[in-house]
Amino acid sequence: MKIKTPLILASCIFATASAVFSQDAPEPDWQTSIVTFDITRNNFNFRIPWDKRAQTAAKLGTVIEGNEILTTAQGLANRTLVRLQKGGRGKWYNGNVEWVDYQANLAVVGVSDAAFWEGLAPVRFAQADELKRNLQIVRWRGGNIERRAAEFSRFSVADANFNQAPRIEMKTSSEMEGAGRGELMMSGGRVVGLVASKSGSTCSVIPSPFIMSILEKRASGDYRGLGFFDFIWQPASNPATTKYFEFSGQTGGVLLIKPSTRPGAKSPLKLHDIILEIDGYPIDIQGDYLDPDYGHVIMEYLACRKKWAGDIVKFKIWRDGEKREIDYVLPKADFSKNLIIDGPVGKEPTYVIAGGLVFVPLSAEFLSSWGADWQRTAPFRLVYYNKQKAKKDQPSLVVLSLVLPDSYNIGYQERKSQNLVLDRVNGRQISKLDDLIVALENPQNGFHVFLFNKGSSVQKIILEADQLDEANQRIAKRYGVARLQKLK
Amino acid sequence: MRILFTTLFFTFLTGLASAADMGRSVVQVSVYSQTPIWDAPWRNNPVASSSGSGFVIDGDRVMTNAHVVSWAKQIVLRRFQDPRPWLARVEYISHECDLAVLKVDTPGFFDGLKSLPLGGLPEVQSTVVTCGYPAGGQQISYTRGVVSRIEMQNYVHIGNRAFLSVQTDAAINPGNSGGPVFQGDEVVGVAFMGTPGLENTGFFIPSAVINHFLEDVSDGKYDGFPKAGIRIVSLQNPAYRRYLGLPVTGDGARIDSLADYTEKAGLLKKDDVILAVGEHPVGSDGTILLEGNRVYCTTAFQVPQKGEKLKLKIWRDHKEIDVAVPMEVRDDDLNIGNLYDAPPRYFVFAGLVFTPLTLDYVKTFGRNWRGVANSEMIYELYYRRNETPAKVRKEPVVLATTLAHPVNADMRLASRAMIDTINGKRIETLEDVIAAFEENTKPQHMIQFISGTVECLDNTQAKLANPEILSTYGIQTDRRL
Repeated sequence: MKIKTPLILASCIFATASAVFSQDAPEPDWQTSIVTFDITRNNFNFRIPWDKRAQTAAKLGTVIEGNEILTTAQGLANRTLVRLQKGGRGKWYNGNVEWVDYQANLAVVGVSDAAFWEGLAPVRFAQADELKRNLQIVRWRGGNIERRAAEFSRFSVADANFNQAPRIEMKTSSEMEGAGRGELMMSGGRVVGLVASKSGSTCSVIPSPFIMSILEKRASGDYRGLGFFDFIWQPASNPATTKYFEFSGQTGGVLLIKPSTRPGAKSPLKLHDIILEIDGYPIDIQGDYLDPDYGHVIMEYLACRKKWAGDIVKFKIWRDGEKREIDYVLPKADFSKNLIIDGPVGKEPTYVIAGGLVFVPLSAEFLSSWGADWQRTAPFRLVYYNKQKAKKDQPSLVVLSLVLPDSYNIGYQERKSQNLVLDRVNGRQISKLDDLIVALENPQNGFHVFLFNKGSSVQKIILEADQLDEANQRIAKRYGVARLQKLK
Repeated sequence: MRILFTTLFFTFLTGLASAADMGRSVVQVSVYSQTPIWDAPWRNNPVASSSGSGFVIDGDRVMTNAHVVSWAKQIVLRRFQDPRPWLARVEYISHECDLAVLKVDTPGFFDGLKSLPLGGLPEVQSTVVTCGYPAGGQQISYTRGVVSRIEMQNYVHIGNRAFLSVQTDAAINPGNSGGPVFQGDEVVGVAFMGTPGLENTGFFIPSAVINHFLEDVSDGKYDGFPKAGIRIVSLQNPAYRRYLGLPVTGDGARIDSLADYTEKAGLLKKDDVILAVGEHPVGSDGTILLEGNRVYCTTAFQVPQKGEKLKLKIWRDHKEIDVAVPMEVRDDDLNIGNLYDAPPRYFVFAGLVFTPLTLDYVKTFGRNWRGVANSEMIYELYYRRNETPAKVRKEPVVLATTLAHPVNADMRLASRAMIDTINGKRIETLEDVIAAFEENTKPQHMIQFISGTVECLDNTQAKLANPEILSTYGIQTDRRL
């Protein structure tokens, strides 16, 4: 006993000293590492696609190595002017977005004026084992640095709300008001992550290991974007189901119920394969795996864990009563070929106005003009295309979104003539606006014949071909539309 | 001025006096009813009491609204100033047009009661008197108002059918439902609904609809209102009119689309222009002139009885033709209207409760069911039939809920999901579900949902567990077909 006492005492002293050191360690001067953004952007209304409304937004960024500023990608789409301010006050400098990835929700901004960089110092990022303790959120507010405590909650993989690469998120709670604009989450002297959003008191933070892996890849010049798993699975927690698929006796795995969500894609996976392991990580019956950095998280993140679009991911599966190994090539998180086009972000809306009939591509951006809850508030039929497969001869869709009233289109101005999906115009199948332009050059016996998809509230509209140009000019003038079409 | 005032006063007094006299034939209808729980279809809600009004018509019968006597367990009539309760039963009911005819088996009820004669369509701005037993009193109540407008209205009781309806500013309150609306000595309508949020807005069912119902049931059974299976749109765009070879400012409305059965029948075609329905010329906005009121032409489509032919004057291929369309009653859209009086069909197997997909079922998702319910269900109910009729299931089936038991405890997807196949059999009706389970001899049952999700049950254990589950949850029988 006597021997043990000094040892215990020594341990206590060491532990106390360690805690003191951690709390009192000199921190970087955050004033020299955090900058303020003022971003002016065109806020397009995809239902009035020619209309541009300027919008300004403030956010925060942090200085990283190589005289660059790191921030979140949110709010940078359709930007017209990016300005930065250091020290929370004083002169504004023009910035240039050098790299942005909306799927990763990260962007890097440069400033060409050398004076901007004077007195600024890059931050250091925290490692995976430094993410959970002594958290604080730091930002500029009213010309002063504001710091608020935050508490670690959990790691999770962001829900794929519509079409999104899986992203790891660190959930923390904090009372800092209005956070979610790229504030720094820090611990000790290191940056733990960027605050991407806040709902209630819960902040979603992009954790530093994820940020570092992307910055490293970008620095190597080989950043190919994030990948994603394009299949749908269900937990294999029902023993009767595993027996049915002759898979009894195994302790984990999930059941594949859709080999690929990408139109026309060929997948090495098959319906009702059971996925046992991905890149050596065993998958449990809930679809989770044990991540060395983040603990138990859903297997979707294995598409992003040090993997990039085009990389091969190793799958161990159960098929036809035996184990097999499969190489799965990670598709890029690019959803612009979907039936409801999603992205690329930051493009101006495209449209064609013909005789007051406004046609737009059916896209996620168009649907999101119904608001944040668009999956419930946008017209049901349009949203439901997200659950449907594209037809071979119609891989994407064009919508009659609006009618600008004119004598030329009288009879088609009622609400039931809106939000209709085009099938054919003048006999030509319509998948994109370019098809429509070509079709309008070939009227049928002096008429433009528009046919809408079966089941539409109106299935046919006719316009006089030789009056179209005159009507277009009149309508453009009356409604202040500078351009009657924008195709790219 | 003095003469005018006197005349108006006299007219008013005469109107009320006449209505008051006829009010003796207006009865109070008290109902005890019990509605089913659509996502636990073997159960019912608590018994509820409600009351409405009714009136005596020819043949010792009482007319009232269908919604007054829907799901009734007991119907009691009370006569004017008569304290005695008289038991009644539903003889005929039309949930489409919200009308019902009641019979009283106890002799003596109709003694001293005159049947009230039906009149025609009242004119807009003419005076009407509503009569009935609105909530808050046991005595008969009269209110006077004018006819505000006459047009097609969605009848909320069924929810998915529109008929001619008369709007009035005479107060129509809960309890007035089923009561007569008088004009002079005649009944010109049956009060049936109001509009929440709109003041002085009540609606009554006009005699044209009432007469159709009474004529329908005169052969001893109710058939319903036939449908043409066409979607008519206005034809007012000059280019479209020229395209069809019609004068730019002329009449006629266009058939834009056809129901699958109409298309197969081949009598009517897309782009047919309806110039007249029966004797009524059709305007380019799709309306006809009906006794001085412009109403949508579908009114005239509701005149024929089942099996009768409706004469249409059609413009097709640049010439006028006459078409006689056999009018048939269709039940293909029953499930997208509110259902009444027939308790929901179901089948319980190993604690899994299967029931047909209906509007009543999806309403169990809550008030905001359109935004909350599974989108596949909404599509199946409202869009599938029009878009891909070949893929329509006769009776889509949902797994409504799962009654917890060890045999089904490992199922992840255990409720509110639409069934695609069971044991490889495509599920078209509830009977298919039963057959798929009962005919399977493999060790597991495999249920595939529309979403692609798969759940399995052990065959032997499921069979053994079934009686115990029914007993535990107080389900008298495993099926109601």
